[in-house]
Amino acid sequence: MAKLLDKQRYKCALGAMQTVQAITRAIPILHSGPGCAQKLSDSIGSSGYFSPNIFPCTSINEKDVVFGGVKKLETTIENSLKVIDADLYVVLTGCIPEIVGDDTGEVVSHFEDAKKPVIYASTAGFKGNNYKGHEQVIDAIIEQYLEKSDEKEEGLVNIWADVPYQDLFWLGNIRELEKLLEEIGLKPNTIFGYQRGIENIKKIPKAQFNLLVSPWVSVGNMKKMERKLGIPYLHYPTLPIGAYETSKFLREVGKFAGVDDITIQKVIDEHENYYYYLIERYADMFLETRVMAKQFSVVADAQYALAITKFLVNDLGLVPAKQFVTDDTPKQFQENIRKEFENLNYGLKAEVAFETDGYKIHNEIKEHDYHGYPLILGSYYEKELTEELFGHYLNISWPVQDKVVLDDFYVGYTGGIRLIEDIYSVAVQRWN
Amino acid sequence: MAEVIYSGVRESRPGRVNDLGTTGRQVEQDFKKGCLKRADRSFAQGLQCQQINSMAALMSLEDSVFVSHSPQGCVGCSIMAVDMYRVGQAHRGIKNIKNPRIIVTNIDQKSVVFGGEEKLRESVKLAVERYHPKLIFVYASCASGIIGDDIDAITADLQKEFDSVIVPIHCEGFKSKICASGFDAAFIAINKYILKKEKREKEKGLVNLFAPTTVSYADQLEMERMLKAIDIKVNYIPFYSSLEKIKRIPAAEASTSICKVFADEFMKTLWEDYEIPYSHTVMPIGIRNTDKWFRGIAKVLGKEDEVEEIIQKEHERIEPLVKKIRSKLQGKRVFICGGTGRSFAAAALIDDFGMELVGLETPTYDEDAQVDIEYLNNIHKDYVVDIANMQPFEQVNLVNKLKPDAFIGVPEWAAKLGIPTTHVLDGKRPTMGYDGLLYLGNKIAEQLQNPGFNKKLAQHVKLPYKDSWYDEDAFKYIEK
Repeated sequence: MAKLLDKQRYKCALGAMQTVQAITRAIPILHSGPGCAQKLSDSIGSSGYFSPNIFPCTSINEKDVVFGGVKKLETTIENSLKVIDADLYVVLTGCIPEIVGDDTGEVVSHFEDAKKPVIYASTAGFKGNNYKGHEQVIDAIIEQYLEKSDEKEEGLVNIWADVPYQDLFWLGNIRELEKLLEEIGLKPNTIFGYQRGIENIKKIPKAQFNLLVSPWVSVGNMKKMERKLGIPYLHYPTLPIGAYETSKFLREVGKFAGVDDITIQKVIDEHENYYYYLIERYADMFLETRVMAKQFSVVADAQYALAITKFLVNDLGLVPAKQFVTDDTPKQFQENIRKEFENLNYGLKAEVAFETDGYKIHNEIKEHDYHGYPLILGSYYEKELTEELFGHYLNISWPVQDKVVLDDFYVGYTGGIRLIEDIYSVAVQRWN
Repeated sequence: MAEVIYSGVRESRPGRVNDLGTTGRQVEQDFKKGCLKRADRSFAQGLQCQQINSMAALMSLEDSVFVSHSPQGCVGCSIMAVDMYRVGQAHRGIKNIKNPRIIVTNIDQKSVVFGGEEKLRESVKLAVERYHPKLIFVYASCASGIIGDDIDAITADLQKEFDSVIVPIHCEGFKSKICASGFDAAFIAINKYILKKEKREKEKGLVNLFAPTTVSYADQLEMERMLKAIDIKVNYIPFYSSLEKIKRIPAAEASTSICKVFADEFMKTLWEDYEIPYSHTVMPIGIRNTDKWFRGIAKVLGKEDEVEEIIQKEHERIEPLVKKIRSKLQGKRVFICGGTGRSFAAAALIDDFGMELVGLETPTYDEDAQVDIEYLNNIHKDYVVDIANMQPFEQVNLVNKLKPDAFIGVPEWAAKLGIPTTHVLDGKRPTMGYDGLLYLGNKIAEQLQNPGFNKKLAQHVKLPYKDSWYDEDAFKYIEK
């Protein structure tokens, strides 16, 4: 786990309350200190049906620290079932109960016969960040709720991507991934967002395979499902943005799913034709934007750092400066991710740093010569830095303050166009 | 008997309760009789912890670094602070807008077993190396408190090595359900580590004006305008101030605060340790409260006559304008939910507009609240009182039953019931003093003029409670 954090870019494992929140009609019950829900919430579309102030919470006090908080947890779960209208109740533990040793699993087991499922996940803040917490919640669903199914549905594919709310574009992205799979004749199944939820969770075991679109998050979940539910998985490490990567993605998914090449090629052609029709209309701008340097840096989690680097290099012809992965990627995944950064068109390789310390990142960016005004895509912390450098800045990773996203997305062909619009909207607002 | 030193935990003050369902009349009597008992809820929704308040209180201090001695989630909401700080700088005309500097020590599994001392030492060391700040604030957390890291001893040791003033703050979340305790924790630390009971030569006409982060720059200007009118020099702290301004605190002739639960305890300490008299009245929202607040500080300085003159002039200026707004709001029934200061201030404010109070939700009840309730009971027939820190489930139950014409406070849930809503916690726009009143009044009137957004929202979304909940007693889960 990372050492100290200066300009922190994620939350703690209990931040997985947002993963639960993203499952429609699933509610987290927090067994934690009094302020955790508020500290882990932010205003990027989180005031839905369940919002952080709604979450039941044991708000552990001094007495509970000494005598344990299990009784409080028991009544909180019991009364949550009475008051809150939900389909799935997920008890999440914070730092305090895990330090003082409350047996949360035991308390939750008292609700095995409740009308609605109650499960729990260990998400103490000191154990890891919210990427890990996200995996813990999905593991909890697999371990405590799902059963192996002998019956399989032809073409049914569970899609898993990065962490809801931590990823600003999670909702739009997952919907667009679904659309792409539908276009090549598959039946996507996802558990997050509008009109998804417990029914989709129930369908998970029937899938033909799991599709994981993420550099590393949820690899463990895929393995667990393979073992317990017998579902094979395809791990596609790059979130496909733009024509080049999306076409590659469709070919690979199609191949794994046994979709014939002709069907795939037809879908690709249609999209690429329209994509390049749009690009051509604005080609003069892309070719002659005098104020933007060719070099760029992305400061984001592995997902966006990799995806945007590939897109800007392979589709837009930019040149990568150093890229910064800020999600505390576990060591065992770093080598493969690094290889992806080195696998760019025209033999280009992007240098990548797995770095959680914002201070160091800012210094490296300041010291690098971008041959002009740099393009920096990153978190809100990079705004101050980019202003200092007179660069172009786009807020694409957490924390977010500069962008409102309801269901916008960067994934796929359309997503690539959206990202181009966003980048060049910044460019044209300045010095043109 | 040994002297009892205030711990910073607001619950430790006698006669203060947190969880209670009652009415205006009832609570007034019960308090008088001494019948109010501390209770708890067997079902509750998340609160705010005091660490947030400790951080918010000091967020904008010039040339400071925050070290949160905690796991990584405790600064999960720092973007809100970043936003507040940046907006505050923009309003103050600062060109090169900066981010606050926040470092989290990242207490992990190893620290839980072996202690987090090394992490804290390294973080403070790096804070100095990187930013050379004048001030370093070290914040305790639930985790650091339970694993028993002695942040006082560690920082005292570090202080020998570095020039930056290092201030440890005891704001462990689990210690208090009243988040305002965090303000007290911050001030206790300021007194102990910066002011150190050292007296300073008095500066004529200097007054400490304590203001929390949630006070907008427009409000700061309004307060300063009013105080300048009676020849007061303002030391505005701690928001957007500096170590120098903090050190000037003991030089003041008097103190007052904009918020009722901000620096109220600290002002007592300033009287005890530095003999600085203070005025603790109300939050200056609405005519009555603004007058009261203004008279309070004037009295401390012996400027009663001057202040009356100004109040009269202000009234002449403001009353015709308030009258115009009143014509739109007269008789409307209101439910109010807010923090301790704002909820009562808003309740007083609605009288300027002739509105009727039907429900009041406020986090704590104590002596101070009693004064306000006695005043409100003279104006309003009767109204429900929910002593709750948020608890939206109780709120929607009550609002659904009371069906007010307007809701003032945290808007999210009442809005989903289709009630027109206005927020009074507006850290970016005006709320206070004579001019703030007009801004607020117009905001409420305009919301009533077009309730369309909330009505449509209510038609299309449902609050997340079972239908049966709305039939239950809202205070069912409060256990005495």
